[in-house]
Amino acid sequence: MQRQLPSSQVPRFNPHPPMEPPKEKKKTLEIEPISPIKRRMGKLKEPTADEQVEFTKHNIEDLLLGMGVEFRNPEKVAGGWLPLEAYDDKEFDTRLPSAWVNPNGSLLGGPREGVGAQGLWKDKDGLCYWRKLRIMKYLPKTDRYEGFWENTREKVRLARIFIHFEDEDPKIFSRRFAAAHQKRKHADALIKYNYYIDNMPKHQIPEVDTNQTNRVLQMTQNTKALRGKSSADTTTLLNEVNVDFAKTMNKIIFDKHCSDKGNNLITGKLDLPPPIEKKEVPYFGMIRIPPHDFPSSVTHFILHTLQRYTEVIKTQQEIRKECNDVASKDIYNPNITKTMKVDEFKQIQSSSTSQTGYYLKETWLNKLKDTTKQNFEKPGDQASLPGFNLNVGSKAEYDQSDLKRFLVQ
Amino acid sequence: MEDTLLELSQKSIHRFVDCILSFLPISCSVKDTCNVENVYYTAEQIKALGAPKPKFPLFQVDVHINANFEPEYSTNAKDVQTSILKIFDEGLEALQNVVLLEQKLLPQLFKSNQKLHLKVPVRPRERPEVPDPADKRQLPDPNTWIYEAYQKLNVRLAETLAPLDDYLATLKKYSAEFKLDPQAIIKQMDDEENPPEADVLKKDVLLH
Repeated sequence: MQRQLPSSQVPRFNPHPPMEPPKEKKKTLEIEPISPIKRRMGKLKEPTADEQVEFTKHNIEDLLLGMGVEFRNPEKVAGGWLPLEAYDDKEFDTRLPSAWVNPNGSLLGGPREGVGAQGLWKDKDGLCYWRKLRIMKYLPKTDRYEGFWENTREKVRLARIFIHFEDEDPKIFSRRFAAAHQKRKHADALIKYNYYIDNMPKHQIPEVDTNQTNRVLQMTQNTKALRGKSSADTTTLLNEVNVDFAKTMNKIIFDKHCSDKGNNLITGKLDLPPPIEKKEVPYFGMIRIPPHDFPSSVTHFILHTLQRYTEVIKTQQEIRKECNDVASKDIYNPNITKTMKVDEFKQIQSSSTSQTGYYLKETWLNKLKDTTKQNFEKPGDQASLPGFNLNVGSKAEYDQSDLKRFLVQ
Repeated sequence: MEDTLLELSQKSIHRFVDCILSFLPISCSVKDTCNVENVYYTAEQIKALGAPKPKFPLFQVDVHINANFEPEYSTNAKDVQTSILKIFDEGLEALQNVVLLEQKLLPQLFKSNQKLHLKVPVRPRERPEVPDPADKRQLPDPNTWIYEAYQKLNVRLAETLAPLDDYLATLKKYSAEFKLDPQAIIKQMDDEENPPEADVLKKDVLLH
């Protein structure tokens, strides 16, 4: 694991000190009750003491090397020039990013001394080692963790893929790291593959023939928007079609050459991702759902929803729009652009407050009233919808009506 | 509708508090009458911004001499704090008394002299009690956030306005000058029969 230094070099600080043996924890006689339903929803699954001891038994470097992941010299690995964090699969994570630093979700943040972890440290020669660090906080904007190396106290910001927390299962983390590595290799191979194809000569590839061109033009121009506009210039678009056609032909040639004669024309073997298996074409052009009682479901839905009338949906939309307009307003005036006297400030704020108050009590309320009346009343003060009678005569009748459900929802 | 008012009040109050706090320095040290140092950004913030953004003061307060020949502010520091907190409360009061749509729409069912109003956020006068987690019948006060915003503003304003008194104290050394009566001195020095020569006057002016 340790790098061999030339004898001429002055021995320097060992960046990868041997791991300390795990401290034995005092065994307690507390017995945890077996209660699978006791755990509250959203509460983190803290690793048990046994699990934590198990975690410390594994060395992350050994695990990664055992999986064939070359993390020590990233520049020499295929795709090493690409940022590894871009290929990190966050589905492996068992906690939210901030929960690693603040496991209890306390408003005061996590522990003051930080959270123990191991991070991938890069030395001056570009070689990487896993070293201990303390993570202090999570920076959501940059999706990085901030902390410091334990031995040098040097400040550091790292992406999640380069941090293995002490409470984290090292096996899961190593699988995550290996998956990111593999994805990056595939990405690198795909970039090279497309680069080769893009740079293959196109002049010898025949263009799309006249019959094909006419067929394409006929099918694309016979749409509602383009019909009758025969003057539309299609030359540029046809050129693009020809370029795409040539690229596709080159791709077929390149694939055939690679399968027949290997990598004799390119710099090395391309580690391309496995081809995506084509899904079986369904026999029916619709989704099959299990048999069910459709009339009863529809009746149940109609009896319980208010949105069975167009007028109701329209009223709800208009009320929502008015409410959104109100929510975007401001009670105070926070746009202060100059220094002012206290009285002037008071006057500006008072004006803004009274304007908003007036808008709420008069304009907004009248708009909502008018919208509801327009949609629920026919000319001649008649109710347009059953159950939405605005001229209802008694409180008891109103309490039973859909109108009340609509107004108090 | 009540949700809309809640959203409006939350956004407005947070924006108002943030706006006022953005004008308050982190620290202020009064060294001398002409030397007051305000710190608006931490070293980390300056590093993140690249360079500190220029700030302008929110209020202009004059210093004048009162009847006892002592300097005082045109607006008292306590009054500045009270004014801002009063604006905070007035904003919330503006949301009150919005009549229910039901009553407006169905006047025949509701008595016109008994207005029913929408529920709006109100500032608690004292810190709301945190409910006992063991007692599921207790619910947290929905207006706790207003109390916290108000307290945050109140505390920061009090902290920021305190150095104003320190600044006024730096002017004490000029108390003799404040008591000067320029008209009396002019009258004492003025001698109409023997006016001073222009050269003498010029010399006096240059000397002072």
